Amino acid sequence: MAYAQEADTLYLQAVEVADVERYAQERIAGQLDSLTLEPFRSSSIGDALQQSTGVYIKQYGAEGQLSSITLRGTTSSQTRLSWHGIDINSQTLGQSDFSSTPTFLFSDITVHQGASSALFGSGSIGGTVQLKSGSPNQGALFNVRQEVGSFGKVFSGMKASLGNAKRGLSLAAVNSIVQNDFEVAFRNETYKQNNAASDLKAIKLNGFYRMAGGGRLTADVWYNYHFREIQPIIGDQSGEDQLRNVNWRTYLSYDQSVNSGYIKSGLAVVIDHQQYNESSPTNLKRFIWDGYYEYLGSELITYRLGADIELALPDVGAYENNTRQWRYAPHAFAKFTPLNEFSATANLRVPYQSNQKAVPVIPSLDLTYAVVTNQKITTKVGAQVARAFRFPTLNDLYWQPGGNLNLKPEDGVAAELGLDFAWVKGNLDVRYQIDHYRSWLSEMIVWLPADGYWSPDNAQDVHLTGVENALKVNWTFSEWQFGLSSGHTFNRSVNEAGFMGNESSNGKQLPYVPKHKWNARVQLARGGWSVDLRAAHTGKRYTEASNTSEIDAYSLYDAHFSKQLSWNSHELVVGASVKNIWDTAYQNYELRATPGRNYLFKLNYIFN
Amino acid sequence: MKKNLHILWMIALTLFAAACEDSAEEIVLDGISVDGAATQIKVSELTLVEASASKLSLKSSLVAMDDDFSVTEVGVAISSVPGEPTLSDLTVSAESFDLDTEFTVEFEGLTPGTVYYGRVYVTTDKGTGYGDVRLFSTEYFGADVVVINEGNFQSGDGSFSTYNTQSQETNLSVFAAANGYPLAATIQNAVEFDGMIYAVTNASDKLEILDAGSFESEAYISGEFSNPYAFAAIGTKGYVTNWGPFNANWQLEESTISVVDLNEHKVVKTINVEEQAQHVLAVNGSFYVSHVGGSSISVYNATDDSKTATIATGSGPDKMVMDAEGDLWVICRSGELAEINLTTNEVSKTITGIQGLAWNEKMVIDESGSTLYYLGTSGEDKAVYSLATSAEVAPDAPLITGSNFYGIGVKGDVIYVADNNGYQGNGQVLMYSLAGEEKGSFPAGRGPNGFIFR
Repeated sequence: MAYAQEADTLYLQAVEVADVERYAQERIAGQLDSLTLEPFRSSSIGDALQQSTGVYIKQYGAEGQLSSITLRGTTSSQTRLSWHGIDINSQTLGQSDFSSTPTFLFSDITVHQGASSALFGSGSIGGTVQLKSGSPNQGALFNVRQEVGSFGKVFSGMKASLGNAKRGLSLAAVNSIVQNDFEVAFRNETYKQNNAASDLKAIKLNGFYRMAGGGRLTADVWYNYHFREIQPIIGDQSGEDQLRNVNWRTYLSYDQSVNSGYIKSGLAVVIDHQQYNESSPTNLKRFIWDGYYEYLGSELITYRLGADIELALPDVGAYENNTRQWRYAPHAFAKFTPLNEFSATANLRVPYQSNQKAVPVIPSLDLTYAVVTNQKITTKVGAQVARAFRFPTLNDLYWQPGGNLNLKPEDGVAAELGLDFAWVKGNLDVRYQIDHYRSWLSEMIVWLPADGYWSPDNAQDVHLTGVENALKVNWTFSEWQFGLSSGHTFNRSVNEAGFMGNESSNGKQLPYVPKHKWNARVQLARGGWSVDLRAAHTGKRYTEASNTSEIDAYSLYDAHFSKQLSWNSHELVVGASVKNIWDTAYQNYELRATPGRNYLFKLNYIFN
Repeated sequence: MKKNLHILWMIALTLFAAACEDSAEEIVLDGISVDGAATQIKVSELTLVEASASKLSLKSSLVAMDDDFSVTEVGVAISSVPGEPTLSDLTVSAESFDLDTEFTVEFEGLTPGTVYYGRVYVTTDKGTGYGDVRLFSTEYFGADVVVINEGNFQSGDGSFSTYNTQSQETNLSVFAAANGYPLAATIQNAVEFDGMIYAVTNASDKLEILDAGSFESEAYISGEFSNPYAFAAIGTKGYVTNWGPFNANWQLEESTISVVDLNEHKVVKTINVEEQAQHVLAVNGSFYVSHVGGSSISVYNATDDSKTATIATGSGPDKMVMDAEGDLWVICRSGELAEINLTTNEVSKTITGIQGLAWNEKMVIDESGSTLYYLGTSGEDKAVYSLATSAEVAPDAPLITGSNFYGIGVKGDVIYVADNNGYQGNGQVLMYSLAGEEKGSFPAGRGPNGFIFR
C-alpha cells in the first residue's frame, strides 16, 4: 500500500547490493515495514515490537524503562540486535535495552525469528533483530516530525537528505522526552509516578561516495544518548536511581562489484558508556572488521565467503586492568536453487573467542519447496535445522568477584517446519504463515548466589517448543485501502534441570516467557484519511522459575488516526493516537506501574 | 479470607450465646437425687470470653443454689476427647463464685486449632455435679512458623509465608492475602514485638508494621531510611539500622541508626555511626548494634540514645543472640565467635576458626539458650553448624550440609533451614532434627532468609 505519510522515500529500496538476507529464511511475521512502524515513529523499537508482533518485550514499567526481548521463548540475551551485521547488544550484559533505540532512525526493522547463529553469529538463538536504514537517495528531502502526548511526552524528529548517483548524505536526529508522571493506585492511595522520566536523544549521519572505479565508500555514524530515572517498585515514592547510556557506533565500508560477484570490507568502531547513579562507569570500546566475497555469477548457486574479527577493550572497574577479548569468525554461506520450486541454503560459521577452550562449528541448513506456484497461489513448505550458540558475556567472564573464565558457550540445536501460503487475486493479497519449532538448549548461563557474591555457571538446559501464526490481508477497492494482520505465538520454554539441587524449577516454564502473545491490526484508509486500530494480548507470565508466582495476562488496544495533506512537493500529516483505550490496569513486569489511557498528537511535515 | 470467616463465626456464636444467657442450667450432683426446685444448683451457660491458639478463656456464674449444699469449689473442666469432661481432665477453678457473679477461668498451653469439650463443675459437701457440655475451639493459626521471604531485589517480591506444623499446611503470601496488595519490597529483617511484626525492607526502604496475628498492615514508615537492615525494640522505642547509601565505589560510609516512636510510627531521631551498622538487639534497656563494616559493637542507652560503651570484637561482627546465661554472642565475618559479658561489656570468650558464611552471617540460638546454630560453608557446600555455649573450640564438622542455605531457625526439636533455590524460583524450607536428620520440607516464597516462631 502506498501511504506517503512516511519519509521512507528518503531511502532506496535496495539497502545493500548483497544482502545477508539472501541466506536467511524468508519470513513475513517479523517484518516491520514503514507502514507498521508509522504509529511508533516517536517510540522505541521495543514499543513497536511489543504492540505489533508476537515478540514479547519485558518492560520494567513505563515508556523508556528497561525493555528486554523474548523471542521464541528464549532469554533476553539470546536475541541479537544487529546493525550493519554488527551485534550492538551490550557486550558486558549480553542484551539490548530495546527502549534505547528510537524507531525514527530506521526505515525497516526485521525480526529474523529462529536460530540463526551461523548467519549472524553469537547470540542469535531466539533470533536476530536487524535495524535497517538505506543509503541517502537522489535529490533533496526534508522531514520534521513533532509529537506531544500525555505524561510529559514530547518528541521531535528531523531527517534531511541530499544526494545524487555519485554521492549522498543524510542526517536524522531525535529528541524524545517523557516524564511518566501518571497516576498510580496502590495501597488504598493514589500518587503520581515519581522518578520514571526518560530522555532519549540520537543523531545518525549516513553518507556514500561512489568512486571512479565503481567502488563505493559508505559511512554511517550513530550517536545515541539515553538517560533515564529508574522507575522504582510500585509504592516506593522515594526512588532516586538513574542510568545513563551513551553509545557511539560508526560503520565504514567499501564495496565493489568484481568478476561474477561482489566484495565488501567494513570497519566498525563501537563505544559504549553506561553509568548507574554516581558509581564508576562501564566503558567498552570495540573494533570490528568484516569482509567477504560473494559469488553471484550463477542462477544455480550463490555463495559468500568471509570473516569478521573483533577486539573488545573494556574499561570496567570490576574487571582486571587491561582486560581484552578477541573474536574471530570465518563464515561460508551458500544458496542452491537447482529448481524453480526448490532451494537449499547452507550456512557455516566457526567462531572463536579468546579464553574459550573449544571452537564450535555452527552449521545451519534450510530447505524450501514450493508445492504450488501459479499466478494466484503460492504455497511453500520449509524446514530448517541449525545449531545455535552464544558466547559468555564480558561480565560473565571478567566481573570480579564472580566472573567465571571456565564458562562454555550456550549451545543449542533448533529445528523448524513452516508453511507459507500466498494468494493474490486482483487487489486482494492474502498471506498466511505457520511455523512449528523446537529447540534444545544446553549450557545456559545463569548467575547464581555464591559466597557473598553471584557467579555465573552453565547451569540450565531448556527445551523450547512453539508455534507461530501470521496472517496478512491487504485489499484495495476503488479509493479504499484495507489492511488486516494478526499474529499469534505460542511458546513453551521448559526448564529441564534444577539449579544446584533444588528441583522445584524442573519442568517449569521460564520466567517472563508468556505462553501466548497475540496481536492484531486493522487499517482503513481513503483519500488521505487513515484509521489504524491495534490490539496486543500478552499472556500470563511466571515471575520466577518454580512457577508459583505469576502476573496476569493483559490486552491493550490502541487507535491511531491521521489525515494527510499534500501540495506540490510538500506534505503534512496531522494525527492523533489513543493508547490503552480502555484504561486497563496492567503490569508488564512485576510491581512496576504502567500508565492508563494516554494520548498523542502528531504533526509530520515532509518536503520531497 | 478463611480466617476472617472463622472470626465472623466466633462473633456470631458469641452473640448467640449472649442472647441465651438467662437460660440457666441445672446442675445434677452425682449420687444425690434431686427433688424439686428447692434442691437445685443452677449455673449460667458456659461461654467463651476469648480464644487464641493456645488459650481458652471461659465464663459462667452460679445463678441458683440450694441452702442444703455447701459449695467448696466451682470451676470448668475441659477435654479434647469428645464426651463429658470430668475432674480428671483439664480443670481450672474459679477464684470466687458468689451467686450471680460471673467468674472467668483461663486454660493455657492448649493445642491450636482444636475443639475442646467443656462444662462447669460444682463441688459441694455432698459431691460434684456438672453443667451442660459446650464446645470451644482454640484459634487456628495459618501457622506456627512464619517464613520471612526476602524477595528478589529487582522485583521487590518479598513476602511472608506460613507453615502449620500440625496440619502441614503452607500459605505462601499471607501479607498480600490479608491486605489485598503485596508488600512490594525486599525484607531484610522481621521481628515480632508486642503483637506486631516489624519488617525492615529495602527496595523500597521502609519499616512495615503489621499485626502479628492477622498480617494486616497497621502502618508503614517510608522516606526515612537508607538501605535499612535490622530492627529491635524496647517499650515504645524501635531502632532501625541503616547501611546508608553506596558511594561511587560501592562503599558504605554514611551508616545510621533510626530511632522510631512505635506509637506515633515516626522516625524521631537519626544517629550517625562511623562504621556500617548491621544487626541490632535490645537487651536490658540497651540497644546493641554490630558494626559489620568494622570490628566493634556499640551499646546505646534506650532512655536517651546515648552511646554508653564500645565493645571490641573480631572483624565484621554480624548477627547477635542472647544465651541463657545472659551473655551476648556475636558471629564475625572473620570467622570468630565472641561471647560478651554484658555486665562488663567485654568479650569473655572468643572461638576462632568458625566456618561461617564470611558475609551476611546467619546465627540463631535454641529455646533453652544453650546451643548456637549458624550457617556456614563446608567445601563447596553450604552447611549448618551447631555449637554449645559451653564449647571452647569451633565444631570440626557440620551438622547438615546442602546447597542454597540462606536462613536458619530453631524451634523445639526442629531445625528449619531456608533454601533460596539459587534465587531462580521460589525457595523452600528444609526441616531437620537436632541431630541433623532430614524430617521433611515445605515450600516458601522467594529467597527465604529467616523465621518467626510462635
